[in-house]
Amino acid sequence: MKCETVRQLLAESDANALSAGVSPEVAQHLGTCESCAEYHKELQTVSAGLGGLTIVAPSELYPQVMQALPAKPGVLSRKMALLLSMLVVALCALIIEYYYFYGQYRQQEHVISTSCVESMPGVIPTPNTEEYSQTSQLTLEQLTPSQ
Amino acid sequence: MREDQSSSLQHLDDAELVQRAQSGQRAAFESLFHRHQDRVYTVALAIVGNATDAKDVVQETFVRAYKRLGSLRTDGGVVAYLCKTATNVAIDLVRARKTGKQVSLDAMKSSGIDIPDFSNSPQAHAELQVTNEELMNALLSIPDDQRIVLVLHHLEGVRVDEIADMLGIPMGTVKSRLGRGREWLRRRLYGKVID
Ligand SMILES: [Zn+2]
Repeated sequence: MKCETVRQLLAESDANALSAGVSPEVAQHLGTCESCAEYHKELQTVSAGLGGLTIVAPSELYPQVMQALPAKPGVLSRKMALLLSMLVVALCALIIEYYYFYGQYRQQEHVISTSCVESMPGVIPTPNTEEYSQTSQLTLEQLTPSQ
Repeated sequence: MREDQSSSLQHLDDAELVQRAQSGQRAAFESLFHRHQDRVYTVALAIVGNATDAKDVVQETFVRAYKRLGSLRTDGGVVAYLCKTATNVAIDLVRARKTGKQVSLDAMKSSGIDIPDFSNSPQAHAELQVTNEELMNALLSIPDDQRIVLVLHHLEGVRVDEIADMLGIPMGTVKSRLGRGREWLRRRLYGKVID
């Protein structure tokens, strides 16, 4: 294995692999190459240093954050929030369903009444103002069936 | 009275503090803040690169936590939750900046940006023989994309595949950024190039 390959593998390996153990091929190379072994150690130290990096927060942060907090905390638990959102979704679904089916029902009702009038003119007569006016002028004799 | 209350809360673990804060005890939330502010600030600063933005990130993190207190995990995941929130807020901020520029302390000093105070911070690592200030300074000299990957992996312990998911980039890119970032740091801290 070439030094260049070993160093790239080391640099790109995750933190656990860097600290816990390298592959047998890399380990074999590190055992014989002093330069790469030193490189490995330096990477391990940098990695450990980063893991423990701590910067003390400035003192002005406390009043800044406390001032920005709302008066009361959010008390809705995850379960409650889930339950509430499910209820809202169910309610929305009900409303949509109601309007959708009610709309369809109204449309069907309209289609039925229109088709009845068109296809059975004898059964349900279309309103005719002339006929109505004639009917209104009929006498009792005219209405009584002849014997 | 307030100091007595704070000191009586010190012995409680995170889960107990969250429970008390949920029941309206604000001092319990303040204790959580005091306990974790350094960690959250370090993560924020390491990602955004300047103290002003880092403080804003910490503020937003704790405000979000307070607003979601009812659903905050009480099984010891408080630090993880806070750091994850801080990371998301900080990454959004870096993306919004879109400058892609390095944010070394020298550059910040010359442009009048609020410089983080490292005076109280302890030595970073005995073997490394550098202070936290030197380590953070070296970290801040790394380009944003590599620095974010280093912070996520080393400071927060996020796995390589998880970082790829979080940032929406291939795992190979995460590994190469990790490699280049580490190599940059090593050269900066050890001041040498191994041939
Ligand atoms: Zn070698």
